[in-house]
Amino acid sequence: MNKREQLLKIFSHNIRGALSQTGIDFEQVQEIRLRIHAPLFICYKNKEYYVTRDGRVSQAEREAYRVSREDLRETMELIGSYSLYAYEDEIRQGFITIQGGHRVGIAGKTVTDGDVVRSMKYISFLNIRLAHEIKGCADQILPYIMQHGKVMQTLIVSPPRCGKTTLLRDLVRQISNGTDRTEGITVGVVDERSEIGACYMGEPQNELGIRTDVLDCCPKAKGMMMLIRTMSPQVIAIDEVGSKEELEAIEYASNCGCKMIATIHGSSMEDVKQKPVLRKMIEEKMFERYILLDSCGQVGHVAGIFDAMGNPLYHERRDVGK
Amino acid sequence: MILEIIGSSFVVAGTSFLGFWWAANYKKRMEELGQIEHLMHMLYGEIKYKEGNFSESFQSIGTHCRGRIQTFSIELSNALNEGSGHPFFVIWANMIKRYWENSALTEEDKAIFISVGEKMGYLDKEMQLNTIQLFLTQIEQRQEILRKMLPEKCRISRLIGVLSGIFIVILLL
Repeated sequence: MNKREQLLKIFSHNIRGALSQTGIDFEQVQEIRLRIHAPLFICYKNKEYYVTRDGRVSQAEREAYRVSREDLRETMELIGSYSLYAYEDEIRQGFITIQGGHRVGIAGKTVTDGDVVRSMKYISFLNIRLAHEIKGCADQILPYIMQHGKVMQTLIVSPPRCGKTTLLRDLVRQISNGTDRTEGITVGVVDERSEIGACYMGEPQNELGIRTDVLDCCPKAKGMMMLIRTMSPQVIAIDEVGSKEELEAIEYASNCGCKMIATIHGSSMEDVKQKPVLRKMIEEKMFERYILLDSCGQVGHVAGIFDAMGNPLYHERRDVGK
Repeated sequence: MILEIIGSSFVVAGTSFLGFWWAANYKKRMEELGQIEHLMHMLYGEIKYKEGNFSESFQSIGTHCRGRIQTFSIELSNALNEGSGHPFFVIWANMIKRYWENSALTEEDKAIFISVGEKMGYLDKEMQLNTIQLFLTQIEQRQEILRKMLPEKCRISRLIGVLSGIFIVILLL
């Protein structure tokens, strides 16, 4: 089933009709947004358009198809395969991963129990983000994080939407499969929010390599322990670390001989050092490599690569030496 | 005279066959209620332990069963996967009508089976389990009633079959 078919089948009858007539290339679609009583938006080739009732993409709001509550209800029913009860945990977290690894962000009225979000009702806003793999985007990075065929403890630092998960995914794939210069290594992925592998019914929708084991929808700290005990990975990959428990689990994994590749939100090394627990790890030289991304010029631009001491190995496309 | 004897034999044999067929139908209904009970028990387990959606659950049930239940489960799973846009209960009802049409179930049995689909997919996991549990109780009650009456109903059906044949023969002669 291609991307077009995978996507169209999750929409209500009316929206499906409009989208199917647009004739756009679904490979170039980044997002489709449904908001109650608001126009149907599509982010296509990095530009936002309205989808009209007669199935065109337009920049005139008056022509836009307006999303109704019935559209949202029907779409949610199809996204959840008529079984929203099976997605209670995902809805609590605010997203559902669908076939193809596409991610549906959900917003509405939350039902809380104290501080805990128990459920969500009146789901009125949906954001369908299409999965995009960029195979080969880690080619430039890989030589810096591998030494004598072994992976080095690596932290990818990046602001949101700068491509850190995409980079991590490709690193996992290449490390697992092996390259012309390196042999494949067993990798364990703890994919708490299904962003790395985008598993659908237990099957990674993104290619993560032939020696990769994925623990899907599992809290990171617990997942790392489970993988070490059960799958004996040589490398563990996790996305968006931050909590004390997660950093403690990284320390434990390192002591077990596992190498970590993790990502974290941050705009600079100084920014990361502001986080108390992480500062301690940096001071103790827990990580051997830091990869700093920004979106200067293009998404996934490598701003710098640093060693454990903070010395630049690569900076702004200028190779300072490995 | 010979023709009359042969004719009478055919009439008695025909009505007796109908009586025996009717009795067998009661047994078949009992079996089919058991099959539905089995299907819903499996669905209960799939939802409770695997927490899968309906499509996954019915696919899994289909691989563990045979006969009508297998076909019904796999076809239902495929129909749910198609994303036709029809509500769940419509797809559920259509599948029951298609795959249980030539069954020994009574119209009332089928109506109960169809009606359970109207409540499924609604709210949370607990709600699904309670709905299935309630349906299972209804099915068990129907089985219990049928089980108690089965020997008598079978005997009466067979008896009526034979006696009605004899009665027709007497009338004709």
